[in-house]
Amino acid sequence: MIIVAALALALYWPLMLWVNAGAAQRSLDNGAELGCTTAIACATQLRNPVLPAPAQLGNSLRAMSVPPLAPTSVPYNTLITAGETVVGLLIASVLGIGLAVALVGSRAFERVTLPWLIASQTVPVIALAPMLAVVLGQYGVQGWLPKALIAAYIAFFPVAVGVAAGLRSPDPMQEDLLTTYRASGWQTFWKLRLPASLPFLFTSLKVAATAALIGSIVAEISTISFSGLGKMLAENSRASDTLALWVIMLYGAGLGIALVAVLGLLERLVTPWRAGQSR
Amino acid sequence: MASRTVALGRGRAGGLPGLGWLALALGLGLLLAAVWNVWNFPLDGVPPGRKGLSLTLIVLGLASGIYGLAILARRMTGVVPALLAALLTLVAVEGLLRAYGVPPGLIPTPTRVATALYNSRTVLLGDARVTFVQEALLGYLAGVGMGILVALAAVRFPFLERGALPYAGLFASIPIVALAPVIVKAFGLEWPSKAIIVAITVFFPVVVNVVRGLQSASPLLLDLMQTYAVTPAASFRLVRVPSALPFLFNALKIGSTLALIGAIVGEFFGTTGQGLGFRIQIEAGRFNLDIVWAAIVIASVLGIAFYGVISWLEMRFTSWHASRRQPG
Amino acid sequence: MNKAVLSALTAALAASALSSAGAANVPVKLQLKWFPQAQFAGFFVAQAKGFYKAEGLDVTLLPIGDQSPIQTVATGAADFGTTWITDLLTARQQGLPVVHIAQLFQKSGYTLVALKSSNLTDPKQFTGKRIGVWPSGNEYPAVALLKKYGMTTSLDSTVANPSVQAVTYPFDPSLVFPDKVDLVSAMTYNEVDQIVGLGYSLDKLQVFNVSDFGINLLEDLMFTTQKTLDNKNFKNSGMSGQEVAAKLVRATIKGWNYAVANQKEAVQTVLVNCGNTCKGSGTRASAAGHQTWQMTEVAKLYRAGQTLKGNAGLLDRATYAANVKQLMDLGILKSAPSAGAVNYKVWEMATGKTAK
Repeated sequence: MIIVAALALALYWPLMLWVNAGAAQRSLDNGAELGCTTAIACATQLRNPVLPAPAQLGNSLRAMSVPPLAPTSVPYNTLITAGETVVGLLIASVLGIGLAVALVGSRAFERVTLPWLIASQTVPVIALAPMLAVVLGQYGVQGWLPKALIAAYIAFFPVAVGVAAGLRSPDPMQEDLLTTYRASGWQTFWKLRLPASLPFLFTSLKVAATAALIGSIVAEISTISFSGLGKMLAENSRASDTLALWVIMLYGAGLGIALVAVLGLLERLVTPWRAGQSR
Repeated sequence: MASRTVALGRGRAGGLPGLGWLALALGLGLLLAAVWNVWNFPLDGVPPGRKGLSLTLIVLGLASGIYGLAILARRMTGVVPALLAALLTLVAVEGLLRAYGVPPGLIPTPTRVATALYNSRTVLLGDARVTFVQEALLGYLAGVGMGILVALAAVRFPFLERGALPYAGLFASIPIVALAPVIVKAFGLEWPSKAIIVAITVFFPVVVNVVRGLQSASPLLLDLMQTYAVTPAASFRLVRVPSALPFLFNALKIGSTLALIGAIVGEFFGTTGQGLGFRIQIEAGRFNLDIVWAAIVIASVLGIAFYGVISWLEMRFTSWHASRRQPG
Repeated sequence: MNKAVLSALTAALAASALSSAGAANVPVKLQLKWFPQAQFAGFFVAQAKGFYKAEGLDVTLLPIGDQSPIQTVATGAADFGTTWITDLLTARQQGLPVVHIAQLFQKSGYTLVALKSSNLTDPKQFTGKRIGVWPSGNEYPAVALLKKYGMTTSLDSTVANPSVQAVTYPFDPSLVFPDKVDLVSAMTYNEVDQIVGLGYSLDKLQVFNVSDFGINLLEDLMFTTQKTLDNKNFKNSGMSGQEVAAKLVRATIKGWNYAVANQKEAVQTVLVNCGNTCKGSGTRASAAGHQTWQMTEVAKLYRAGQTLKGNAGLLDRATYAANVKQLMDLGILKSAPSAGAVNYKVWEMATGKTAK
């Protein structure tokens, strides 16, 4: 794993030099004053690099991370977004599981709603987010809650589809066995279907976590927000601060990875019988 | 509604289709009456009496319509029940928006959206071509192709699996909105930058799922192949590929919805002036929300069609898998 | 629907509230058009110097990202807002009952910027060039300028062979300039400095102020909804919506006058309120430096037109009429806005003058 990382870094350096030198050359040709004279010298110190030099990125990363809990620092804003996402995920899990039970329970319900559930996922949420926020704002729902709700809106679908597949996953043999035990429909559900769906729940929650994170960031970009990664993205993208965008991307990536990792841990706690195979 | 239909589903099988149609028609009639009742009034000029009447009609119409639909949906397959449900909802929404006099600059009525859809069809179809064909589809195919290749390589060469696969899992959890501005910045405003965003979002789920799928092949079966002296290539085709298919299709389905969202989100960070995401952004700024919703409708139709094609392929190739079985 | 009951109630409440007025400030939410920056210096100064408090208002200034302030105000998430005139008029056309109550900037700060080396000196030469503009209603000034010189753009979906190729980009000139476009839209107070930060000093740039070419589509103004103005008892304060609006406008104009007269102090006040939103780009990244530039430029937009005649905050009728005509010529407005689009009474109440 480390070797691959080292290899990737080794490839990054010449690539970065090459693309940045090109950009620097064009700027110099246009008569820009960059504080350096040759394209190759400029490549590592462009203010708006195509790819940032590691030293640049390191500096920005440090500058934007301290003090960690100041409202302007990235770690603080990451935590805000994390909170919204987690709440969104909880709402999405409840909604998703309920929906999955309804989908599996009633063919009629599935036929009427499933196509529209899928359709709702293809609706570009970034367009919907401001409208949802507007509608929610009318009822006094403001602050972090609309972001969590929008996150939940994006995340519930993978959960519903995954859990529905999970509820249907038990082997016919196992079902037959329970039938011979004269188990009722509910008993089959509690003792067989639900446990069988748990691994599916976690697999889809991992997908949903990333989706929810996208949702909360998009919501922060497009609604009234005082903090969060999305707000930082919006303001830095307007200020053409490429390095800041990279730093925020790194933190966003870190947050996404952390969320999935936490879910992985939870999975092992809740479904210990799968621990051996889940990796 | 959910629990109600479940209860109905569990009840006496069948029911009378005639009754279903009747209830549905009655519901629809009530809803249409509700719309007609408040049809031609200025936004703030709906008389309170008419508003109240329309609201009552909508509640009654929805109740009757849902009841009818619940009966019908148990007997019908295909998309008809879903379409009927949409029809009911749309008419009800039209009635509600008109009764409350909601300005079209906030939420346009379905008829307005339909009109916009028709009037701006050339522009919107051009946008759809850019967003769907160039950005989403090309990006999707590239992402899936690369993903499968990398997954095959990872299974074939264990050092890759140990060295690179953990990263794929990590990259799969990067939120695309954080990635989009950086990529648009690096690759420019034209469509390729969006296709790259789509490819990246689709790539990682494919890699992770396909590798997991290829490894999910039962060791028993693999041993069996060895006993039969089947060549490794044939054993790969006969055992590993089939067991990987459900996982692959899972990734393909997730990817199909991610692809369109990726393309549209990418467009929000810069385009040269075409695309559904661009249209949504520019028309929202002009308060032409009817065109915004028309673009959303097109994106949704494309998304559903895309998902439908993948599901059809999945059905065709993995009909044997337990999760596709109809419940008994 | 039960207005009679409501007004009776209001009257009763108003009587009781009058005695307790001054005890608590009226909470007012004011929606800015973007994240905090010197573009809104007057508001921040009015808040910091206690001008709003002195009027009995407890004002919260709300930031916003990629959403129109109109939407938050129209739905009641905010009570008042600031936006551009095209935004307001197009919103009204779509049935949103928003009303203009005060005009802060008397002059448009919209420019198109080219490199001097491109040898563009006159808008007549724009034919066949590529122009970078912001979408979402922020492209109108550029389109109006081109139209004035008989050119069409690719933004108009009915034109087959546009004479100018428009490239939309999201508020970051470095994405397109100068590689992908010959001209780029820039506000005097923001993006021009960002382009300087990219390494192109002002003497290398050719800046076309659209207001110099007769396109003066007005920018930052204050607005609210008709419903708020009609409200007889704003948030149970005992004051009518119109009174609250007048107090808000009065304190805001005071804030702006102070900010423009004491720019250094105003910049400091703004800097306290913004996190990363205040910084410039490239070599001009320092927040203090960029906001000082912004304050200087914004002051020029404020100190123009009616402000110079001692009528700060007044919407100039001739300019408004010209704006409406331009927007109608462009087909952006289908018909002239009704008289209710602009409310001069609030300004008259706020200043004690008569709006001419």
